[in-house]
Amino acid sequence: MNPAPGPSDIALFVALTLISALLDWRWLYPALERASAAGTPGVRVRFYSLGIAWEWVFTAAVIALWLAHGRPWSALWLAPPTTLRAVASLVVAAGGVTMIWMQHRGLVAGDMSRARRHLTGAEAMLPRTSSERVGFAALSVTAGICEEILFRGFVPWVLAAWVGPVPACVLGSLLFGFAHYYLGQDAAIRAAIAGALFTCVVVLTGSLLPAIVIHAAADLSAGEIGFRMFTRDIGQESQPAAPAEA
Amino acid sequence: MPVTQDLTPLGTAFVLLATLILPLGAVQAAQRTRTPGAMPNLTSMLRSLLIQQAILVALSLATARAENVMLFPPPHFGLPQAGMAAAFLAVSLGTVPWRWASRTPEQKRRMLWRIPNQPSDVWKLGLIALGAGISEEMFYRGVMFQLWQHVLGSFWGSVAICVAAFALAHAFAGLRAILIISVMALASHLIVRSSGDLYTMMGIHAIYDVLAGIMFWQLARRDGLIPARPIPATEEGAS
Repeated sequence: MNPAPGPSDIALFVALTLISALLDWRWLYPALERASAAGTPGVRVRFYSLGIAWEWVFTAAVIALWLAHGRPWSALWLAPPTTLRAVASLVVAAGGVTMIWMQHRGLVAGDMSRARRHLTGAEAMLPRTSSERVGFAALSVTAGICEEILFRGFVPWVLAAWVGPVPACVLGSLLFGFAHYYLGQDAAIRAAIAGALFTCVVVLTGSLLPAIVIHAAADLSAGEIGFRMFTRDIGQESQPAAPAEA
Repeated sequence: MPVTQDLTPLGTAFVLLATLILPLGAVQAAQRTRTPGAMPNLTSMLRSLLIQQAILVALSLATARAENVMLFPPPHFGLPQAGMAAAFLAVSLGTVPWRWASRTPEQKRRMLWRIPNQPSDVWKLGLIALGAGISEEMFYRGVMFQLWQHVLGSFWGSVAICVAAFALAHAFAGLRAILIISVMALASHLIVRSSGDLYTMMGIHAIYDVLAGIMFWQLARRDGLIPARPIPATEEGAS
């Protein structure tokens, strides 16, 4: 039986699922889009740094609450797995990464129109330079670790106290979608689907680890595709126009 | 206060799949099919639809076993079940001409891939309809409904969630169709509740899909959207 969430948990829950999502949607991301359109140097690296700091602060707060109250790590799906579950987690993680790799190769090999559709709404935050590429990779790994702890561990744990464990998984996935609403309605729906899939992975394997690996791999792939998309565009623009065929 | 129950990991994953992943995936797919481009047809979709239905059946059976959900109680079919079936089919099929007439030309065009385009398509429609009747009733009215009822302890709450998920999973048909499918799904839940099993509703679902498909085909032919006689393969190749 999990202990009930206290006022600090509820404050953190509201800050994470509501305030942070609203700030991203109404203020932070529009500011990034404006600065990106204006060509402000270093704006994306600053956005990545802020995102990384923001997510680690939330994650550190959750871990601090767990340590302060002596709660079981299993409530966050962070307990050491049994041998069978460890093997299952590795298999699922390897399968997930393989699928992402295959999709990545397919998207990169094409004319990027499918990739563009996939990344619609996220253009402003996609890397264009080598330093931004490194920054986005760091953000991807952070998102993999922190968002899984927060949205597959902490958020459903808080919700479960009010609505029960199964509705908590459903609502947690929807809140994960809402947290990505700043990227547009399509991206929010995609994130909710991804959130539900990650929750399935976590529930079936009993561990956050495979979901962390798959989530980070998916974000790394998106960043890499974005980088190639923009560098290919720049390459095409810099090439002299081909003479018209007779 | 209803009693909230926990499920096995497989049951929880099933609920997430049925409640969020499939309906939201269908909404996304529907948005993609609205963009101009080549439309699929019944033949090209036959295999993928049958595979999807087989996956739904396999998932339903595995989850029902894990969660001790009784999917196939001893059947009883009598006059009340026959009456419910007749009433459902009369109302749902009786409104087909009106539903067709109130569609825009673009909505009609987007519907053509889901209906027969020639007489030889009818058996494919029959196969898909039979599969849909069995798989979707097992999935939505069988396992999904019983799991939500187990979780929420509320009949109407569970019906509302299952109706919404079932209707959104048919998002490709358009917003107005979603509303009509919601009403039909609600009626389906009431029929399953009254009949005490899924068999009656499986039969109704399959018969409705076949007859509605044939009716829409005839209406499309009447409006000139589908040629009265299919173009022979040799002519098609020569053109």
